[in-house]
Amino acid sequence: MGGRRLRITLQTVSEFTHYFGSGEVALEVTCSTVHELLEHIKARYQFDFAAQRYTMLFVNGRGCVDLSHTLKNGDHVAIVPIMAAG
Amino acid sequence: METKKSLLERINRLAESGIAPSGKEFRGLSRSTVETISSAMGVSGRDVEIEALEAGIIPLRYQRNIGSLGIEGQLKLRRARVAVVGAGGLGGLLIELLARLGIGALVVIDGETFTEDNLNRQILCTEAWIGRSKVDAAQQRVSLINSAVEVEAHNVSISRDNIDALIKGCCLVIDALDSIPVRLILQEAAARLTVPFVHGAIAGFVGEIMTVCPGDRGLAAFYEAGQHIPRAGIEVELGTPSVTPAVTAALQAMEAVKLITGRGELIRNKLLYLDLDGGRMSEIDLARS
Repeated sequence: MGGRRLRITLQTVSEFTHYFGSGEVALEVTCSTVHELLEHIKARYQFDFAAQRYTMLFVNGRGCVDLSHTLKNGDHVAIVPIMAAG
Repeated sequence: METKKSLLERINRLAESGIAPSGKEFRGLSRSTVETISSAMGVSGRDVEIEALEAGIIPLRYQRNIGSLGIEGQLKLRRARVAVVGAGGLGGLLIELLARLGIGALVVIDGETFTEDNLNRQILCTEAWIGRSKVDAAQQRVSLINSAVEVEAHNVSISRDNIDALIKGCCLVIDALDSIPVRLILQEAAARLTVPFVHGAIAGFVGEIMTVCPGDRGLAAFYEAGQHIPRAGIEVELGTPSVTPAVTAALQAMEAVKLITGRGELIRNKLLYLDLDGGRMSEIDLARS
């Protein structure tokens, strides 16, 4: 895994917070892309984003599906459930 | 003008003195008096109540709103016309809450009938109403709890072809839908008509709410251009117990109150998550451009 040392704020909601111990964690990770961040999260917190069926990722408040998206120091990443019922 | 003067004279003559729980004196108008004046003068109950409020006379049904809303706030609600799109879990509760708050007119849109699995959470659904129209139930319910609220019921599903005409004249649109692509259609229509859109969605014991004002990205912040938009979410696995629409709809109704009266702080440019299991609310700030 390549990449730089980045400070990333990871925010999760509802049951996802159980993996991280808190709704918001400050991560210091060596990574460049969203994919690499998710791999780090999987290894450290046993949270497998790819295995979630109805989950959305936000990077700096914008929905992100391109896992090759390059992260910057100070980025905010949120993992939230997709919900549609009314 | 003559009718308005006569109306005001009759209201003033028939208003009663009362003492609020706070000890403050007020002049009020009972429901039966509103109906009597409405019948005698050929004006709607809504118009009678508006005229009364403008004169500082409180229709008794709203007496317990006034301490928080003020007469001016109640008047704004009485004058408002609000679209509730969907009359199911969220929509039914929204209709109940908005009618009791005294919204002037509700445009209720839903093309579905009740099914047995609606009984766990849809307040408009009773055993007797299984198989019957949701908007018909909405119309009946509002007539029972606040006959001075005008209801325009549309037994249709919304589409790009019909939505603008359906919500025209509304000061805001409330999302009580159950499909993400249709929500995007509704948000786009609200933007075209330059009215706010109050989004809500639920799944399991989690709800989300966001108010989208004209110019805000709203739900467009969720999905990149060209991206596949899912129709449904995790509710297909978790279901939708009654407590979740209850809390979510209450917050959506409060957003409507804020928008109409100008009070409070809107849940805007952020998604508010309600985690009922954890007893927490979380905010996700959304990109503004």
